[in-house]
Amino acid sequence: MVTTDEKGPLTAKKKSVIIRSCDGDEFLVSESAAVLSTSLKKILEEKEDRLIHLSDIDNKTLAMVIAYLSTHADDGLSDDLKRSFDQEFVSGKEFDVLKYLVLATDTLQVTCLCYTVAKKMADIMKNKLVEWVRREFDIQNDYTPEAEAEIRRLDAWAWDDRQLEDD
Amino acid sequence: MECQRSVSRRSAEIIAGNEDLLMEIILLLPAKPLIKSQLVCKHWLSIISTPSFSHRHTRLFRRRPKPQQSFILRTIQSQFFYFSPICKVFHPFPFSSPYTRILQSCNGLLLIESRNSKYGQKYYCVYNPITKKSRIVWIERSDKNKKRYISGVSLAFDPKRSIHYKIVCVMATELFQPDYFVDVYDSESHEWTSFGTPFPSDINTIFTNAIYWNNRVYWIRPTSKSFYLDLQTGNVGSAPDIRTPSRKHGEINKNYVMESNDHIHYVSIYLRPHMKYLLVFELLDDNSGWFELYRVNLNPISAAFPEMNVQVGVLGIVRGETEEESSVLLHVPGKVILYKFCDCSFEVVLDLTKSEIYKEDQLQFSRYDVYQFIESLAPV
Repeated sequence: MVTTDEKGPLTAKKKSVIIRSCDGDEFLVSESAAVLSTSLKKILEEKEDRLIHLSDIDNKTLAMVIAYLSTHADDGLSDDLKRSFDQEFVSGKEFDVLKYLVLATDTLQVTCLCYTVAKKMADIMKNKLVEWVRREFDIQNDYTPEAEAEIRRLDAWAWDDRQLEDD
Repeated sequence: MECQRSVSRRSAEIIAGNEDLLMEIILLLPAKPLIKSQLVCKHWLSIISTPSFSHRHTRLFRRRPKPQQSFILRTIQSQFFYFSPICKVFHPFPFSSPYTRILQSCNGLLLIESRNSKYGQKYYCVYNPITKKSRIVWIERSDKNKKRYISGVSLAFDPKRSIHYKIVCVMATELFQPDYFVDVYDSESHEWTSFGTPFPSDINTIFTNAIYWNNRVYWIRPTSKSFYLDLQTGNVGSAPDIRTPSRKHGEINKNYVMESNDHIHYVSIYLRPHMKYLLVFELLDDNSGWFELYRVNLNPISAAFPEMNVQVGVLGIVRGETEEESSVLLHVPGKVILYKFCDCSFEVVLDLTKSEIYKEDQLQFSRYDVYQFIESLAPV
């Protein structure tokens, strides 16, 4: 299956590339959008192949990243519009989705989007309990109960916070 | 479903194992949540406690939203507390030496005067209350074998300019009609530089309670001339005079100079039995004058809190992101009241009437015992 990207019909003049996700779906993307990713740019410079296979990015995440790249490659849009697109882009997205996005943008080296997503993640994390953070990052608590109590005691003022969320 | 969950766990695992990416995310957390993130696991603690992390975190401060304003308060009995009026948190905040005085709070670092014992030798240190790291700054008191007296020590730190700070020390040659010498310490070179005697010879002021702002150290006095020292040029200038209504017969007037989120404020409170009001001024960015920002009728508050007729003080201005969120903290015996300028609403954000530090008809915090608490990992 080939999905054309939403921004304008592809003309014969415009060069394009096909990007395949790990689920096997293929996306047709203009080269001007693809090269906003440093990794894709390198691949395109190194080989003639117009088909790029990304083995660790799934369909849903890739579609989102491509929507971002296409918007930012669109010369018809003002910087203001692009900025508000960025804000819209992360707003309301679940932490799980953001995790995939941050990994994908890190792999593809889309620095601006990686930063926007990381910022949104930090924004969500700052009001969460430690237990929530451990769950979301699949981290085992390797402190002994005594060590944990000692850390909490040292910065007791910082823990006296009634606004932390666990979901 | 099972499959999806395992994929989600995988993404979590990959991020947690990718130290560079993980660092990019947690660098965007404000300092207080970072303190708590140390408890996630030992690996996170090791990342957060490296000097390079705190350097980068300090440099990136502009990318993070300004945290909600909070304060360090000192009670009349010299106990320190952390106080967040927005989260309504009030918690003991002890220092290692009980003989500690905060001289200044400056963009995340504190300048502290301390003694090891009650009558011990005074020393000065720069302290980060978040990382609990401190550096003692030794001040050379004698110059060519002539003894000098310390008139005032102040701290100049602004991550917008540099992650390094300066200590400005004003010293007098003698106690009566002295010459004032200025020495400046730079934390980057760890060296002192002499700024000579930049003040006019007839200067008559005290060099305590300094405020660092726009790369100048200000000594603002409500009733006499105010000065600043420009750290770039080494020049001394005067701050504009403050014109407040003159006190009427039988009226009590109290004045406060305070900082809030990078603004200098002058707050004046006027008290008569049937008329109480408060004025808030702000020093204009170009140092050209004081701008009257708010005029507040305190009568509705004193009607709700008759304690105000006994004693009242101003603890601070809380500036929100927008003008609408700005408020003032008023202190009456046993209570701290937050008054919002935009809709004139007020509420008690701290009630100490059942606490052991409460004494009837007395204020628990004096005007010089309120410090902005700015979260930062800034190195000392």
